[in-house]
Amino acid sequence: MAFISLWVVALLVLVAIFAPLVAPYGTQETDYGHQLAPIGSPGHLLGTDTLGRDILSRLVFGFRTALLVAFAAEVISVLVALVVGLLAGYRGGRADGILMAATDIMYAFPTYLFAVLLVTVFGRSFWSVMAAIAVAGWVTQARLIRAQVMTLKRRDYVEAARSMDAQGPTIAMRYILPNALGPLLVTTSFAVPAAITTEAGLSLLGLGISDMPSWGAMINEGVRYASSAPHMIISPAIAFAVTLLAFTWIGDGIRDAFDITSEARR
Amino acid sequence: MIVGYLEYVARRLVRMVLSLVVVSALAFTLLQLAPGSFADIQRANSGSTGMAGAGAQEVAGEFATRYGDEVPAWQQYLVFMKGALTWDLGPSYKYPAQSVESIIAQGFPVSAALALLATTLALAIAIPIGVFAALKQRTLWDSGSMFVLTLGHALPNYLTAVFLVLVFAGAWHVLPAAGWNGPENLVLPVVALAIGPLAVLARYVRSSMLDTLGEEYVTAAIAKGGRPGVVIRKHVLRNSLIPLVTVTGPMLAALMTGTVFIETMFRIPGLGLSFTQAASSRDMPLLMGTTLFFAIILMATNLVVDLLYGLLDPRVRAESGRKLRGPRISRRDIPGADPDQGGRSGVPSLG
Amino acid sequence: MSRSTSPVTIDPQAPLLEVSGLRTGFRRADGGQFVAVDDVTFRLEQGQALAIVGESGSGKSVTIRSLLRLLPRTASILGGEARLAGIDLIGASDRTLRRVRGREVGMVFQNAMEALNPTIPVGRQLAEALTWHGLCSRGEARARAITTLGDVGIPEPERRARMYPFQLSGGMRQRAMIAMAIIAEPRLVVADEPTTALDVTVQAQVLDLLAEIKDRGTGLIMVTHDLGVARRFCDDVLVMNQGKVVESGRIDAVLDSPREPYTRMLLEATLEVGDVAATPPEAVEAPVREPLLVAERLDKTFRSRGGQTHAVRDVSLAIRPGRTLGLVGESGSGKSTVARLVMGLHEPDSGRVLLDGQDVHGEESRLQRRRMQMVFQNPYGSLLPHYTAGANITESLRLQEIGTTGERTERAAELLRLVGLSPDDARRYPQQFSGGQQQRIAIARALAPEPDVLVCDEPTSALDVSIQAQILDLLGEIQERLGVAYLLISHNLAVVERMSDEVAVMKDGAIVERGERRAIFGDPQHPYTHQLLDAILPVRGSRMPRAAIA
Repeated sequence: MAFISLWVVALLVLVAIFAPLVAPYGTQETDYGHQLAPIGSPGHLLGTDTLGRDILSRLVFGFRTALLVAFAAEVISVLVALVVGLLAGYRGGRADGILMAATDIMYAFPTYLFAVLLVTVFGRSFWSVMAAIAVAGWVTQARLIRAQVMTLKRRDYVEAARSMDAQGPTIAMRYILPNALGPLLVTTSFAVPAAITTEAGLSLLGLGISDMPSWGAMINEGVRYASSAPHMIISPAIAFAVTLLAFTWIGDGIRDAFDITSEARR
Repeated sequence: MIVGYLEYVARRLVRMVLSLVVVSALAFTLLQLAPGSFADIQRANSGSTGMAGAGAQEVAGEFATRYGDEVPAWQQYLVFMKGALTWDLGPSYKYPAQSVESIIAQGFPVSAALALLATTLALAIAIPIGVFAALKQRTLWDSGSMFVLTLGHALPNYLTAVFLVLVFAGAWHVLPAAGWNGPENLVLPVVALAIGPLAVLARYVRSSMLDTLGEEYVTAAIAKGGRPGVVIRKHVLRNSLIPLVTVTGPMLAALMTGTVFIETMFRIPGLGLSFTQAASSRDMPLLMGTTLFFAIILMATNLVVDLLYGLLDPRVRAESGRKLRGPRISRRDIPGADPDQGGRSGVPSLG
Repeated sequence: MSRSTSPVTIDPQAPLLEVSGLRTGFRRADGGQFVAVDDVTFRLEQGQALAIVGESGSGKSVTIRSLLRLLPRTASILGGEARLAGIDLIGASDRTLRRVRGREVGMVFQNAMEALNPTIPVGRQLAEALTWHGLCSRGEARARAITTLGDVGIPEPERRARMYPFQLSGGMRQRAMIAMAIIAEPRLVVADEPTTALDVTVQAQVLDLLAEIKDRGTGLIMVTHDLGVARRFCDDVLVMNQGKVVESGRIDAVLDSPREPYTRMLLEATLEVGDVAATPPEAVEAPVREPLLVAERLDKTFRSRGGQTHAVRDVSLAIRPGRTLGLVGESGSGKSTVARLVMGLHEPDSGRVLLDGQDVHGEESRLQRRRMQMVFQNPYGSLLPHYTAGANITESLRLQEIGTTGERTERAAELLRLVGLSPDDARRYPQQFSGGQQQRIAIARALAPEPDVLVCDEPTSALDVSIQAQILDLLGEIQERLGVAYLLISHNLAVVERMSDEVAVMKDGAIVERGERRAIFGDPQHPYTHQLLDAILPVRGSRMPRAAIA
């Protein structure tokens, strides 16, 4: 499953990168006279929406948006999480206190509400949507790294390294970090589909990036016309589901791979 | 032990209050940063939300009397918090006729009812599936049910809702696609809300059951001559379902506050819908009020969960007196990372 | 209390347990079968005790678990017969087997903390063994649970019956588990390493209890890796290796005059207190030199939210160049903390550690510290999993920027040869080695910066006896060749006696007695040392010199 998903995701990523080449039309190009064309119409493989925009093209560009936001948000949240998690887990003390306080606060906001709040305040731009997702995500990952580091810190090999007179930064970077990356990779692989979901969710509420096409917005519109023009929602919904499943199965695959090695080591 | 436990409860309460202060201050600061400050937001917004000019004037006056004109932000914050302590959150901007607290009082029961129904449904289905899958580990039942659950787990509830609406409202016309008129309006939203948690809970029950089945005390119970049913009931089920509290509690809290998408899609007048509308219309008092309310709900749930966990598990109870921090890194922190490890060999075959 | 009529047909004339040709296999991931128990045959009469001994992986536990079918899913019984007082166990229906489990056969597990359900009070867990078999009413069962807890020597049984397992002390938990095994008055008690997780003094008490149960006429099978435990009260012995019975017979006969080479190897590898004393003292005593490492009045208290632990109280030590100081004590005695204080891994609250007169904990200590290295109990855990063996060995040199890459590779090869491995092993990863080999790599790593002192914290406790002997031999050789001083920390008196020149005995964070090895073992002064030595279970009938066995 993971293997097939990997191909699916690879294909999707290529589509996103070469979106302008793949998409038959621009996202705002309207085909007057062909509004609400059904699936399979000549020139519009997946039909058109109420304004006569090509659904396939919008899907392709919408995925580009989702992927861009998700990856950018993940890169930021992983980097922040790595630094804070390492410090909190290894040094404890003040860094740990800060992380704990941040956790308490973040857990007081449901993820979506926090994102909604941020977007409300900072506007519906690419940066604020991305930041909203990153801010909502880093605490969880930082806590994971912290827990991992605290476990690894107590391993005998760290004590052995200390007895060889290795200093704190060396221990953290050379001995602890490489062994903490596995679980981080697993959570990150699950965080990407989650970020895609959040991005689409914000658009669904009308709080997405205002000048970029989004799947959430397509679903939002599609729901409104679900009874009269179901083709407007069917293809975005299916494309969305397939994408998320592919990412999830890749995550499952990565997790299983790490489970096996960690079990074999013991 | 009792004294330690009470002390633990007290310390948790203090910490909760402190967090609330920080959360409210943070939210207030954030909203201050938004274009247009807290009190004079109405000027920035009048017209854009379609409010009549006269009405806007009236509201502006009301805001000025409540928060004062041209006063520093921290004073406005104090006014707000003083009001919050007495359950007086002031008028909403969008609905000037209503106070924020009355909007919350109307919306929350709807959201809570949805959340409770969805959680009950999820638990009622997830526990049997999880238990069954664990007992039939590595059979087609196990892998089949887990495969289906992955689907529910991977898809956000709004997407599930889309498919449900397409099938039950679009194709079969058996249930209404949206609205809030009667019990038939509940079915699709509750099912859509329940599927995600159901998948998570079932996987959690399964892996928790497998963990417990591999414990030596289960082997010891079999060695005492227990029938499989008795051993599972008395030794396996109890111990593997106790940790479920830590997952179910936050899940219920998240549903109570996070039904945003479902309420928006199905046009259900819950708190989530109010929040979304407040956000898109920049109704700052309502945003502030709901945010604070959500925070209280989430923190209270987390507290109740930790205390309940302590009551259910004697080990945690004994420890909670000593340690301040409950087991907070739970499965929900790691989406999909519940360890359904394949290669478990320590599980004795019952019977 | 009289036994109600048994629901299964018992043949009182038949031997208590007769096992023949028992074979148990595990399904491997590749679909093949791994035969863990191969053609095991033995017989046990009423009131007798049988020891099944062997190293890890010998199939001894699987053998007894096969009898009650307490096997993992991947395991299955491939053949053979087992009859308990005439009842066919292998062919028995699940129903019959359930009536045997707990009722006719009680089982004692290695770790009571794991074998008792943490969320159910102990008394209720005991009572289950009666009510599940319909032996008596719930109320009677509760009363009998309390009586039985009292019988196994638990004070205040009424109160203890209401407690959860984690609220009992280790020794009490183990007793409670034994009570659970015997409450239904079974004909046979099967104990799987019942004392391995316990300290020697507690072990002695638990073994006394098991001996008492045997004296009441209950048959007993004890699985153990410890020949001394086996000899304590068992009548017969079954020596197992790689799933097969190597040798069997009366325990005195087998242990005193073993016929099979494997049994002989096992006996020879088993260290006993007194072995060393029997060998004649070395002709030339090394001249007594000034101490190399001195610890003065070390004191350490650990504070946590739960309170504080005074782990080390006023401990002073001195180690001479090229000699070994053995530090012996039970778990929780603070001996490992002393090792970490000496190594500079913990800061002492007061006191100091001097190496060649220079303070190890001081500012200028870094060069000094390199002269001390450490070997840990768990060899795998102490090696970096993502480094090769060679990189692990030379890591300390790399950190100190000693030598070029080429020179370090050279050094790794040289050290691997020294510890009895091949230079080619440098490229393999730790998990590709066996436990004994991993410990060799860990020793090589510790030797890399040419230390003067090696602190060895339970260096052989995680290893089988045959491997333990090899590692101790290696440590001895290294000391002879390189003149390294050892601080050897161990709970095992025989290991300490074998390796040490001087010995210190620790209890509750303080040293209660110290002196020359021969003085401590020959003429102990402190009552605690006496207690430790008395708890030792002799393996060989008369403390014969090792040479006589070989």
